[in-house]
Amino acid sequence: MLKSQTIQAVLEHALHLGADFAELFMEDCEETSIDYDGAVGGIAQQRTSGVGINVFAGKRSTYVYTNDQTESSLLQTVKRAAAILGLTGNGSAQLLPPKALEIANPCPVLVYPSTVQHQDKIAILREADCAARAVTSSLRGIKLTYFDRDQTVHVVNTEGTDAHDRRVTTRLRYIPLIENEHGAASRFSDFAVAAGFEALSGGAYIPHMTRFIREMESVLTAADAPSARVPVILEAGSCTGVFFHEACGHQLETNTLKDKGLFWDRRGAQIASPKVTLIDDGTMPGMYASSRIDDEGMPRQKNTLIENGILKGFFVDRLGALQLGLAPTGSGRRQNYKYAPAARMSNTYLAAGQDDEDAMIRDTPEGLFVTAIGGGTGGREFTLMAETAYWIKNGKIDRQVKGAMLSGRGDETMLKIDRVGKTVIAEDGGGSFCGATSGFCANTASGPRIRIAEMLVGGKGGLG
Amino acid sequence: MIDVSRYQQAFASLPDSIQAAEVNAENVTKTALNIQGGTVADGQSGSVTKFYVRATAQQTGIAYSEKYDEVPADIIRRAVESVAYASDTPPQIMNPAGTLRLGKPSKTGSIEDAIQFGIRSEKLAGEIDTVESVIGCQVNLCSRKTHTVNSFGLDAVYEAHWLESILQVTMKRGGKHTPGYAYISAPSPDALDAEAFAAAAAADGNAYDGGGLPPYVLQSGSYPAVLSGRVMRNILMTAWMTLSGQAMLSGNSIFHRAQGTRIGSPALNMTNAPSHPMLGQAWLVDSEGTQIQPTRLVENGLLRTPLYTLASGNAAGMPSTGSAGRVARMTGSMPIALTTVPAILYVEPGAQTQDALIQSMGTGILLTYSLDLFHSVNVVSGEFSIPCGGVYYRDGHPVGSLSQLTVAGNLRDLFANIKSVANDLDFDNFYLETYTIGSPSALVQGLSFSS
Repeated sequence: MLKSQTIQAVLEHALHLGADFAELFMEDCEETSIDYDGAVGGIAQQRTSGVGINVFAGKRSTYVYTNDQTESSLLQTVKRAAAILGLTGNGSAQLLPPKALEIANPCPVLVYPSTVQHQDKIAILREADCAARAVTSSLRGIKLTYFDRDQTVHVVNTEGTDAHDRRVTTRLRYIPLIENEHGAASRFSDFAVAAGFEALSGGAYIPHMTRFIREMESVLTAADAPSARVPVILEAGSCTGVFFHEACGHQLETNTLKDKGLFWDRRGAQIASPKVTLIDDGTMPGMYASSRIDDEGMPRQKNTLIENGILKGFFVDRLGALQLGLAPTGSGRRQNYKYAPAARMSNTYLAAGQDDEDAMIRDTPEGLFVTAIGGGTGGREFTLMAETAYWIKNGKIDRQVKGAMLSGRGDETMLKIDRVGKTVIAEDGGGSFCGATSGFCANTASGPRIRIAEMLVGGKGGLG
Repeated sequence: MIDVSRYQQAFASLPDSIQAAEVNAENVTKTALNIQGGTVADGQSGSVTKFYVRATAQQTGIAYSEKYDEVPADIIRRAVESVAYASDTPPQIMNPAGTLRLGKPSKTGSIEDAIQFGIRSEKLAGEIDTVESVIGCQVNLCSRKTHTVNSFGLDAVYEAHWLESILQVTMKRGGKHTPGYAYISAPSPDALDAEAFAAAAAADGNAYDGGGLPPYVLQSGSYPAVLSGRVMRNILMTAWMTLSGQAMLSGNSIFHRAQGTRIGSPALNMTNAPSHPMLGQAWLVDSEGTQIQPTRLVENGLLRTPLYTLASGNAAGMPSTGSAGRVARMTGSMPIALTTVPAILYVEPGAQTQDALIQSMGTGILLTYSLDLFHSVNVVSGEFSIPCGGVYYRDGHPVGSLSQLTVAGNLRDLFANIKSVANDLDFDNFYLETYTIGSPSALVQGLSFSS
């Protein structure tokens, strides 16, 4: 981390060059990964250390970064930012004295990964390998990777923000190769926790891994999904969560609002069924996307995005706030110092409703019940890959189907939600990553079971 | 040139226990300028030097550092320690002694040149009748330098500088959002034609929905289709992984054991190349210090060779194709270990125009866009299910626009049913900018659509 004199010199230089505002994001990060494929493949250790500088002039900004942390290099880097913005000097903004911010860590750590011997981490992988091989004889192999990440950030800006955070995460990735007379399949899933090494003790990941392997195996014997416009039921947990992440989450981020995305002018309007209340909360204890501060030094907070179907709020970073006249929401996030911060989702969940979960299937003459989503994309049209799904006929599960791609427009589909279950389930596996404009950021997507009255299901099993 | 002399000194006095060591140093510098309303609305600029170190005692370990001042001997020690617990695997192969000096130390022009190009492109696009507004023009000044040295005496250097730009517009459609997009890259601003660039973005937007045709209600079923270059590139952004030697050897590709066999129609030719006349960027030397050679992967539908690194090539008894890299896909993993990565991988163009392909199709679908590049193709089973849209044609005439379709099938069938490819080759960078994918439009028989 930089000395306070250097920080001050860099910020003062930015103001002197004509900036209205400048911010230093200083990062040190240590990561370890261990590959295991029946035996230890290797241990990788990554050390990242660098500085990002955000410079604002009016409503324009430039983000510059470097891993050369000498004062001369940083001053040169600021000069580059000024050149991009066409600043000519004689700035009049004042550097305010730093005010330290003290916030409790929502994700306390019991055992820091750096204090754990490699042998103990490898023991987890051996245990996982044994547990995976016991699930099915169709498992041809499994690649496992243990990850830990210990990121220290320090954010200081010209308005007096001086905030520190230390974020520790532990993750186990599994990539099983399932092969039997019906075919082969391989994909990955993570058990991810915002905690130290203690998160993996006692086989905490085994139920998730076992479910994942069984689901993969079951897909091999599934029939091709039909193509149809039918009611779609999304299972509680990440299925519902990922739906909202892709159908509207990205459309509520300031970068999309600036490009006049689906909802930029819809605040106060009904954009979803009255049964929908959507919340994002970066303060939730122990959740994968929680932290003390966002990556602009602002305390995280709970944000209501949609309330009873009415659009209430957006994801707002500092630049977005300035450009759109909105209040920042503690949502400025980035993968690391090489990315400018951008408004991003964190722990996003649909609030509980009042509908009976079982009745959703019972009351559906023909439709699709999705229990695992493999990923998706957001935009004006969103997509969701239903990895594990079942065709419903006459209110009962008829058969498992594969290859179902769900797609639609968020503004149309959210209005068609006609049932919301009573029990909110957190994302299975703890959390995941979302790749977008400021890199990969941890997030979670949760909610109760829901039913959408009609969606396009694209499969290659003929007409439904 | 990146200074690796401290590593060379360390390699000269390796402890007896260490048989080999290598550093692959990489500096990526990029300045991205977003032009909106005739000025720089926002920008981003950075330069990072990364050091990937491999060291072999009994086995080969890898360590990574971005810390300029970290002592090479310490990183080498970390690399050795990283495999202290590893199973007994053979040491990784490193390149032998040799010197490579590739690329040009040329510059891409000044920031001011780049800004002016962006402003001019934005202005020209805004003046086109069919364009409602210009969302923005991003101009990137890029440079990539790598320097790989090892204890055997390898000394491989390359550097490339280029300028690239992305122009996004919306078309006049009475409030209905219809995007247009163009990508261009060149070694310097002089080689960029702002007028053609603006016209390309408008043409793309116009093609999106057939120039504003009314929506057409498609019956789900099987149709012939012309897949635009954009749609083909989106598929290949994931599907190229089926041509990774590593994946083929491990069974993680639908083309497992398919080398030397037909995987596509005679119209399908695919090449991996270090550079291309249409592009400014060049990937000349891979992360193991191997020179990337132009390689025809698929010839008249026959899979000639997959992409090999030193390790996967050795396992297959073949030389490396210069395909060792660090970041191949979007997974959130640490990109330290060597993996298979293409350079500029593209479907070779044919002689006909896209319009000739449409006339040959007669009645069917022109797919102009697709969504979800990274989840919709399964490289192990080959199955795909891709959300998309375009234009419905009857007897060679556009009838209506199509949206919210899904096309589903298997890569084997898709490649086998390519009837012809057009001459409109174009390129897109992978999202994480570690390789480039190109393709022209292709006429494909019997694709399954749902709507």
